[in-house]
Amino acid sequence: MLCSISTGKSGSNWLDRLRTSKGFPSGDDLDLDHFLNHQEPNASNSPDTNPSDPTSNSSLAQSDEKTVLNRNQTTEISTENGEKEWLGIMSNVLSELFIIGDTNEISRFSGKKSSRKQTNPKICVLSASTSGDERCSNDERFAVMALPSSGDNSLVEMKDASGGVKLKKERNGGCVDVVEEDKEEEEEEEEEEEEKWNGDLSGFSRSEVTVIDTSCASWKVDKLVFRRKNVWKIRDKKGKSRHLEWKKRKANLCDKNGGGKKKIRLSILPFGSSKDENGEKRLVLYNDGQNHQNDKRKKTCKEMADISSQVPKKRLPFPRLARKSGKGGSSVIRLKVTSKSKQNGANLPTSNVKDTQRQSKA
Amino acid sequence: MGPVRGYRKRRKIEKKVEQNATASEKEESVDWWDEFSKRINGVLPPSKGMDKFESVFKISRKTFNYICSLVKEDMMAKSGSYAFTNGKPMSLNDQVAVALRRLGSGESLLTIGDSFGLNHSTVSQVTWRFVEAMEERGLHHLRWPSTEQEMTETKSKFEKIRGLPNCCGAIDTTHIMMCLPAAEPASNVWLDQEKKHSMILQAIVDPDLRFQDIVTGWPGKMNDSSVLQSSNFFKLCEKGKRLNGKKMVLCEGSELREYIVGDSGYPLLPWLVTPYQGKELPDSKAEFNRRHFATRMVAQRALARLKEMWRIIQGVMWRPDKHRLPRIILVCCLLHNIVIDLEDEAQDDMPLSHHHDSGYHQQVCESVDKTASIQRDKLSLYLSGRLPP
Repeated sequence: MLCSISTGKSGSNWLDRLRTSKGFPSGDDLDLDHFLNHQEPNASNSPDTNPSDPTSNSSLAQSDEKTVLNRNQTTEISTENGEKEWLGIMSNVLSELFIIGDTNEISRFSGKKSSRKQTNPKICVLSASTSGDERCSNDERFAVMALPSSGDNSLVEMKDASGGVKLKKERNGGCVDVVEEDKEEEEEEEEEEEEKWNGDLSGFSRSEVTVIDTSCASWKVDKLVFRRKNVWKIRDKKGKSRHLEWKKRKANLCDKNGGGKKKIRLSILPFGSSKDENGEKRLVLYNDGQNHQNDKRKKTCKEMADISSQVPKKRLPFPRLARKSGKGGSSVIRLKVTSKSKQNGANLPTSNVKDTQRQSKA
Repeated sequence: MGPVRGYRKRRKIEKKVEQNATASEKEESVDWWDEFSKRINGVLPPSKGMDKFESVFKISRKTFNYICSLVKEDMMAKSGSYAFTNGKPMSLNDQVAVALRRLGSGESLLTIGDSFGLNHSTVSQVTWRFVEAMEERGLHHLRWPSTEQEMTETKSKFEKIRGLPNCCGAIDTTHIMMCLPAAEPASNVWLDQEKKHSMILQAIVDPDLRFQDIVTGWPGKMNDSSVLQSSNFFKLCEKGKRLNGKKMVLCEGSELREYIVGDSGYPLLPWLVTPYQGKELPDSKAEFNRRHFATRMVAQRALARLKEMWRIIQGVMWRPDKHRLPRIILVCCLLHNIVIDLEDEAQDDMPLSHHHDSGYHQQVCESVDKTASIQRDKLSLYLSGRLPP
């Protein structure tokens, strides 16, 4: 057993090193007050170490605080009952490190790093971990370490965490090879999608409409209308079993990296408005006051031609296969790009607008 | 679902059916009407039978027969027959009559069911079968003019109204009211500028009040210009594939392209002429606006008549299926055009109102295309006779 070999080989020095790397006081005299005071700032620092994942960070920070308390308890026990308890805990840590025992439980907490650990189970990586990169994984391991003694608490923390964490877990189950930088984007996008799906008014509301246009060869088209305040997004409807496809898509996010985007999407630019700073064309209902419009009229007219050229793409008369639509659906996520600029649309003065748009009919 | 494939073929068939049907079914339908009118009204004096027919269906017998011939194949081909509550099976005429009554009166399924001796679900099913059949068979009654001759005729009729040359159509938008649960967040998108739930119908109309192009199904929250912008008509015009016909020479060196007219809710574009905005306009511009208003009135009248004649879309619909409603609107537009195409005398009795969207305020779109603005100025000068020859 790897576990017994390593303990026998390095003895107390090894244990000291491990304690030091974990932030525990080394030696038998465990100064708990010092330890806690030393750990507090560390815990608060942890969000900075992984800025790309704000939602999971907050939950990690929460669980970290808990684990500090739990550690408090366990160390108290260890002073009373001696080194044997410590070894029990350490063996848990080691079994986690070498993926001995229930891997499911471990991967739930170690998250995206789990795949790397499985392929390279090196002990020296952990013992020498003092850099900022590794601190994050340390925190995660603390959570795991606390699990055997006070697993219930930690689990409750994770369950109470936001939907973002849950989404993340699902994704990790389905696809672990997602590039890290993309993760944040995707998470946001998925959350938006979730909002839309739930018809949450704070996000884009999603409506299915049947549009008849007698100038089209296929004069009847099912459309999806996404609206957030004055911002409208119009897409073709992919099929009737959209909910299922969407669920399926979440499990197959790898497709996004692999295949080209099939999605057909139309953002409409309004008359009297223009692209926002992200270059996203948006449809805004009387969004601009007269001041804006005078400046932008000419530009708008040019852009309208661009939009119109997108129109034919959205009209595909043939039905799509469910598999394809699942894939195509993944590109729905691109709506996220607009989420950054949505505030512009939301902040537009609507009261002004009403004044300009309403005059008594002749 | 598109009517493109086999479209011409179908039209030929329809023409044949038309010729055969009018002769053979006329006698049949006289008998049918006698019996049918007895069913709904009791015994009527035979001399008043015809009048009653038109007051019940708002169309002439000729038009009714034509509609029956259009949908005959589709309505009778489908399996399953409908029957009155007394067990008598419904004939084609019965079914068309029930559907037309439902679309024309806007009465509830129960009321129509009671007056015709039908179960209300049968009324619903028969009406929907009729709508589907009309979509398949009647779509050629609603199309953009395809020949130069048709277009020339349209232009000359527009010019006769108030002198606007080279005008090809008038565009307007109306709202089809719906009653939706206000508490549901999904209803919010249908809430329009007047805080009513509605579906939009955009129509481009010719001088005979015929619909040449419609777009419907968009939620009421979208404004007129957005609906236009999302339409295929817009795309075709911007690509130069529509309104690209003969230009007219206004004076030496300046030509007027084909265009449509619309109110100030639309953007001023090279192919879409809107009125001058603002008060205290100079005479020539005010005169232009008067002519423009009179010309685009056809669109308002057409929409007003559509709602007046096919009352299912006039009132507030109680929680309609938002995927079916656009199709019902389309069929009402088709029926509207059929009445015009068949030169039905019934249309002469209709009041010429132009209030199709009462309670709605005029929308204003500030967007102005520079070329279009210059073109409008020239047109204005031309109409006031100040343009040098």
